[in-house]
Amino acid sequence: MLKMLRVEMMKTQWWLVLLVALMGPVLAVSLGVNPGDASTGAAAWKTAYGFAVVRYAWLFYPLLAGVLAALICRPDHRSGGWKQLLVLPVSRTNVYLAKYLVLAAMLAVANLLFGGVFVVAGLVDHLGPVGIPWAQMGWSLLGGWVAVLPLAAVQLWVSSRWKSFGAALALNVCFTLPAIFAAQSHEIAPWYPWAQPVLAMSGLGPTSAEDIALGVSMTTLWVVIVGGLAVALLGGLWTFARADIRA
Amino acid sequence: MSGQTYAARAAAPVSAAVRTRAGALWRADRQRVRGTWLWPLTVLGPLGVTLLGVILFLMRHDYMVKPFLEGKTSGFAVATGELGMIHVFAIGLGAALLASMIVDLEHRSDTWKAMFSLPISRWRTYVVKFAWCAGLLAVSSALMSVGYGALMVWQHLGPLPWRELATIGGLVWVAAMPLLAFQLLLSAGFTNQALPLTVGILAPVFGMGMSRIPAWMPWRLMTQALVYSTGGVVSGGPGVALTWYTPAQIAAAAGIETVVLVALGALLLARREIR
Repeated sequence: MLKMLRVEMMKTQWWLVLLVALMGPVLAVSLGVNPGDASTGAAAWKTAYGFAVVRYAWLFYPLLAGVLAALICRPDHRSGGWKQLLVLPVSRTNVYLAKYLVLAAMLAVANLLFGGVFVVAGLVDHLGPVGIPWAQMGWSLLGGWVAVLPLAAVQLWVSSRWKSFGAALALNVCFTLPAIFAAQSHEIAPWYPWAQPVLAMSGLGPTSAEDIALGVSMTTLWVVIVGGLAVALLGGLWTFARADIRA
Repeated sequence: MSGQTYAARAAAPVSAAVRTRAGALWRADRQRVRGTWLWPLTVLGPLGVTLLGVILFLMRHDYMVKPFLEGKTSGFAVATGELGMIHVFAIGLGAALLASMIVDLEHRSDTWKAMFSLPISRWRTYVVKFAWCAGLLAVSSALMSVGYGALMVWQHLGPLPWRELATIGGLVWVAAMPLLAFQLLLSAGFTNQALPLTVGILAPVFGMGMSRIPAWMPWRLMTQALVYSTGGVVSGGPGVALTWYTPAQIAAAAGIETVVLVALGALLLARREIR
């Protein structure tokens, strides 16, 4: 398993991952960090983070999971990569899990980059060195990462079978666009997986209940996020283990 | 679908290509597009947005229809008010996906080489690919208008405003052309589609409200078209800092940008060394 992980890490074009992951945060942040009233301190930082996170996590972050999942399967889809890999004495489960772990690591890197870019941009944009909401940001970034894990599992499921980058991403777009409405609806928001990253990160989710963890309610965390992750990961494993690899 | 299939499909209409060039290239691409995800995506996109509208009306019917019943807004405004922004996002993301998929066919099976070893004009090949994507997007846009119309009939939102329905489909389509040209340029330039598609999924972030980029840029232009078509500010759209463009200005900006970007893309493909 460790060897498989090392293989996957080696195959990854990290410069490309960094570039792709950096584009979103840089844009989300450069469209304006400072809400504009030239205030500094903790309150201004909080407002600025709220704006930046909504731009980043509502569409870009879930969609990025799809791009990275397709990217991680790309070398194997080209010129018989799967065949070369799977004729070796490796277990398919390990191959798949290694891919998923590297994908999860990439998404964690993406979130950390977002946090880093935000803080730098805030300092440049005159929010002042005082009152950076480190704790809030830390929990937000962690919550967003956990919430994106099931979506990443779905994307790896399809990307491991479909050669086309576009097809896998098209599916992702179909699921992610409704999140714009789903996240605003009280009835649907806690149940729609693609809305969870923005809810977990922005604090737009539940606010009153006491059983909140990582920005979402306990029910959402366990049923939608953990349950969704289990279903998508097992489904992907099941499909991949039985797949007929031809090319 | 192996590389050979594509190569065979690409090579089949060549004798015709020598005689009637652009038309033959168009037909060649039709062969290639067949059996791929391009057609399903073209139809499913607008269908999905319309279904989303159905869900919205089912869930928030009273809240959404109330201003219409009170005579404050038109039925068209009710149908497009919330869905409009999704429409723009869907067309914008669709442009990126179609552009990526139509050239990824060639990237993946290395048919560029097979094609360009034949007496085929490279820039014509590129322009025809652009035309195909533009045509597919036109189908999507027309279906979007049909979708709005269907929602209005279903919800009894008054007589169908044909002019407005045609405008929202058509003008958003026109405004989407520069973005499509830009995405095709990127997708044709990079073998690895990760980069072009990441730029593509950034489009909604660009186009959303509070954007500081100039209004004539491809990403904002689509929002401008939507705002004109719906006759006012839309939910999630730009707020007070909005620049108002007339349809003529939108069309002019879109036309100029599209010609420049397509020409640039064709030039880059014509100059590229295919290995």
